[in-house]
Amino acid sequence: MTKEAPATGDQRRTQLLRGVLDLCLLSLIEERPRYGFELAEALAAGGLEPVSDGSIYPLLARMERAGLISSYRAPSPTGGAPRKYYRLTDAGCAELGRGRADWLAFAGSAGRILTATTQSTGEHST
Amino acid sequence: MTNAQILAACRSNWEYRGIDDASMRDMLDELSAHLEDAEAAGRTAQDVIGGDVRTFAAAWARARTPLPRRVLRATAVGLYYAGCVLLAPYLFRWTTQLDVTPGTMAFWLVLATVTVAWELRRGMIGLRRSWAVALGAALPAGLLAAWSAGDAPLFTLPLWAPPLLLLPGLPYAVADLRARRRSTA
Repeated sequence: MTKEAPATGDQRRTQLLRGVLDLCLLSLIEERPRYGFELAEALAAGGLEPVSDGSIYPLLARMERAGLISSYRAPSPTGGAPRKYYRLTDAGCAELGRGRADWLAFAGSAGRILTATTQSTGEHST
Repeated sequence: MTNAQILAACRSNWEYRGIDDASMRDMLDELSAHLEDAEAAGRTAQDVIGGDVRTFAAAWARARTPLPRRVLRATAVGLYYAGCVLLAPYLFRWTTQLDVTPGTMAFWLVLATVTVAWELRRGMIGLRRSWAVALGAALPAGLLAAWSAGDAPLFTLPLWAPPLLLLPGLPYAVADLRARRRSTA
C-alpha cells in the first residue's frame, strides 16, 4: 500500500479551489453578466487566483452544457471585438442556492473542527 | 509562444478532436479576446493557458462537446477525406475498379495516423510541415510494405465505394458551410 505525501499549501489551495470554483463563477455571474477575462479578474481580485486564467473556460463550457448558464455576444466596454458574456439561468440560480448552502454547512463544520483542535492544543493563529 | 501560435495550436487540436466549425470559431474568438485583454493588463499568454497549450485545448474540447459526438464527427470527416483521396485515382486512370496493394494501403494508413497524431501532439508547425513529417514516415512504410508483401492487390475496390465513404461526412460539411456563411454575414 502506498502512502500519499501530505499536500503542500499550494496543492491544498488548488484542490479547495477546484471544489468551489464553479460556485464562485456562478456567484460572480449572478451579480451581473460577465465575460471570461472579467471573471478571471474578479476571481483574482477576490484572492482566488486559479492556476491559469484559461482553466475557467472548460468549467464555463460544462456549466453551459448543463444549462446552468447561457451566453450572448455584446460589445466590450473597453472596445475591441465583441465579448461572449455569460448570464445565469433559472437552473443555475437554483444550483447556486443549493451549492451555497452546501458550502456554508461544509465550511462551518470544517471550521468548527479546525478551531476546536487549535483551542485544545493551545495553538494560536497569527 | 505568441498569441497567434497559441490560437493555431488550439485550432489544430480542436479540429482533430472533432469539434464542429461553429463551436471552434466561438472558442477561438473567446480565447483571442482573452489573450488580448490579458496582454493589455500586462499578463503573459502562459498566465492564460498555463504551461501546456495542448492540455489546455484538450480540456476545453472535452468540456465543450461530449466524446461520442466528437468521435462520430471525427470518424465521418476522416471517412470523407478518405473518400476524396480514393476517388482521385479512379478519375486519373478513368477506371471503375481500383486495385489496393499492401504498399498503397500502408502509405495512406501511416500518412493519416502520423498526421493526426502529430497535429494532436504538436499542432503548431503548420499544415505543410505537418504533411512533410507524415510523408517522411509514410513513404518508407509504403516502400517497405511493397518490398516485403509484393505488388499483388489485397482487394479490388469498386467505383461506388469512395462516394459511399463521402456520405457520412456530407451533413457535417453542409453544417460547417452554413455556420461559416452565418458568421461572415
